[in-house]
Amino acid sequence: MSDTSVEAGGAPVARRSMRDVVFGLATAAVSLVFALVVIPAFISVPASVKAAPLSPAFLPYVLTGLIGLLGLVCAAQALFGQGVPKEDGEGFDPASGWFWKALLVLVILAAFCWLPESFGTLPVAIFAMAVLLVIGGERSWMTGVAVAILVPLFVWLFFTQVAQVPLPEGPLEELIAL
Amino acid sequence: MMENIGLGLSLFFTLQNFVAIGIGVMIGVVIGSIPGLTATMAVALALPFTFSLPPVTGILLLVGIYKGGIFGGSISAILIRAPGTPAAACTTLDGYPMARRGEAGKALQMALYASCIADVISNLALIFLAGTIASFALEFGPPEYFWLIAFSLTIVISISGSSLTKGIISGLLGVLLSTVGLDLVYGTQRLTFDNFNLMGGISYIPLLIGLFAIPEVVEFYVQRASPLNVSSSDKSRVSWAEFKRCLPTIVRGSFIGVALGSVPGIGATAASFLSYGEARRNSKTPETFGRGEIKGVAAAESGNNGVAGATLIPLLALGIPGDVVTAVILGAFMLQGLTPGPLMFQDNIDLIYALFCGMIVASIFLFGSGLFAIRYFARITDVPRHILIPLVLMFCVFGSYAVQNQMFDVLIMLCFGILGFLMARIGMSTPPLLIGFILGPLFEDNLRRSYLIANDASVFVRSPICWFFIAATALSLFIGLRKEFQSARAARERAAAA
Repeated sequence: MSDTSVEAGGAPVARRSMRDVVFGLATAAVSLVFALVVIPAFISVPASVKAAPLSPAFLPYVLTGLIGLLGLVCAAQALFGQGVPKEDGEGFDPASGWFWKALLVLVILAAFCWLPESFGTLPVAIFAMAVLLVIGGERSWMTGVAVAILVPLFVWLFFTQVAQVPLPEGPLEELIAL
Repeated sequence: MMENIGLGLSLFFTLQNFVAIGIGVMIGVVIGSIPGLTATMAVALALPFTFSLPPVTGILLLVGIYKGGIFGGSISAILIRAPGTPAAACTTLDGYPMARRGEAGKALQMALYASCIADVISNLALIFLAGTIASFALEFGPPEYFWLIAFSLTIVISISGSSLTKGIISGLLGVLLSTVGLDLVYGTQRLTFDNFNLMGGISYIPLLIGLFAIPEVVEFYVQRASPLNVSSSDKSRVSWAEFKRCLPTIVRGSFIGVALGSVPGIGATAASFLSYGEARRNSKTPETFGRGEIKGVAAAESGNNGVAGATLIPLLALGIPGDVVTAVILGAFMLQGLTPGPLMFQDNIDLIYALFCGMIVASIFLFGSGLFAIRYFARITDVPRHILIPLVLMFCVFGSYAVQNQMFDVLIMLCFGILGFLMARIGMSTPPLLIGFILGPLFEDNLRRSYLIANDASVFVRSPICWFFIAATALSLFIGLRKEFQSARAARERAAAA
């Protein structure tokens, strides 16, 4: 099982990758921890289980073992193989300050998980839209404000009125009920 | 018989039925194209409206929504890499790369053609083979299902992307994730970490949206060059030569859809991936799959739409719903005082013929609605990307929430979004994870049920159907691995020569 890939332009790429070694060894290590700690702690096996394949832990053990084994294969391929693929991730060309932008996007997504019940879905969506427009490069504040209000409003109306999804409205619930 | 057909036609040819089908297909296309809102949800929401309608009209409204929904999922899969329905996840593999290189119109058109042809073939299978296929499907017990799923899982080899090893790890991880929740046999908790939200397992729609759409959103903000490089003046169309080239793939995919659709419980997602895997295996240029190969779109869409009519085979012939949508449609039948099954072919044959007519008309309406939708939905690519991306995010968040009306699903989407982003960075393909996640429960369930029946491994070789699928699985593994080795060796040789 050897891996080599061809770039879109047709030029073949074959080289060792330290990233694959780290990935493979980390996968094997996590699998080991999963098999020795997580599965015994978080899968209850009733005493009445008659055959191994009937046990709730059977498939998780088999899968974890296979994943760990393939992790080692991946590391071995990267260390001793004749070639490893050009990783898709190597096409990654980050913009300046990419880490902070990625973190901000994740914070916005996290805000969507925890804030709607306190502040209401619509205000959170408007705030998120405004922030995303700014980091996305919107320069006209008038366009920005209009889009930041109208787009979330449209999506919110669609889900609440057409699809009848009861989105959490927080303190706005009474206002909307009027 | 002719008298019954005549009665069926007179029952069908009313303005009300045509309007119901038209509205149903259009609603289905729109709902299906929105990530998180599935055809199942749309059918369930429309169910109360059928109370006051005549039986044929009400059921055709639901069938129209179902057919439209399955096609609609491909629109957002192609344009924004956020599959509207799980069945459209496979369409993203080649549809989205086509859209990125400015061929969104062509990808959408091929998706429509493949969907409509598969739909017609599926309807014809329903009309002419319902009895035969349903009796064959009844021969399937847990061991036969187990081998069918094992065979379906071999498609992971075809969709592993640049690294087969990482692709298989991704598929196994998907199966492992599918084990989260309450154990079906003993009712004990598995990997729920005492979180009651995980008792029912991980919801697949937030997982799907997280894996496919969120990495694109994050990459838009962190990449120097935008990954969503879709053309704003897309005039690409499917040529006659391209259509002819894809036709065998469409027909093969349709039959795969019919075969899997007629077996209860398999579903459109597995059919689309299996059709895709077969198309890649049969291609002279398998390396083009996953990089915007039009045959990939044709295979995925014909596979999932081939299921649409065929899932009604076990429903109408035996009274067994083939999937969740047909279970809702079964509810509509029962609300109208009808019980699908063999007796219905004796007592209400005129209604059966009217439904068959309606399904053929629904295929025609699907084509018309699809052309209309493509014309207007394709304009999404004209929206500036810095506005489109937050809009996609809104739909992802609201759509994930809508699945079970709980914020926990948004958190699931976020977690799988991060996982999808990291997987892309390390060159690990995400579709095998999805296929493992969807087929995993069926695989394990049938493995354990087989053991419960016999408490002996010999049950797995008990019938000719088992042997057929064992051979098919072995052959598929052998051919798939050999092809991967050959292409790897060829690439190494080219590298050495360069």
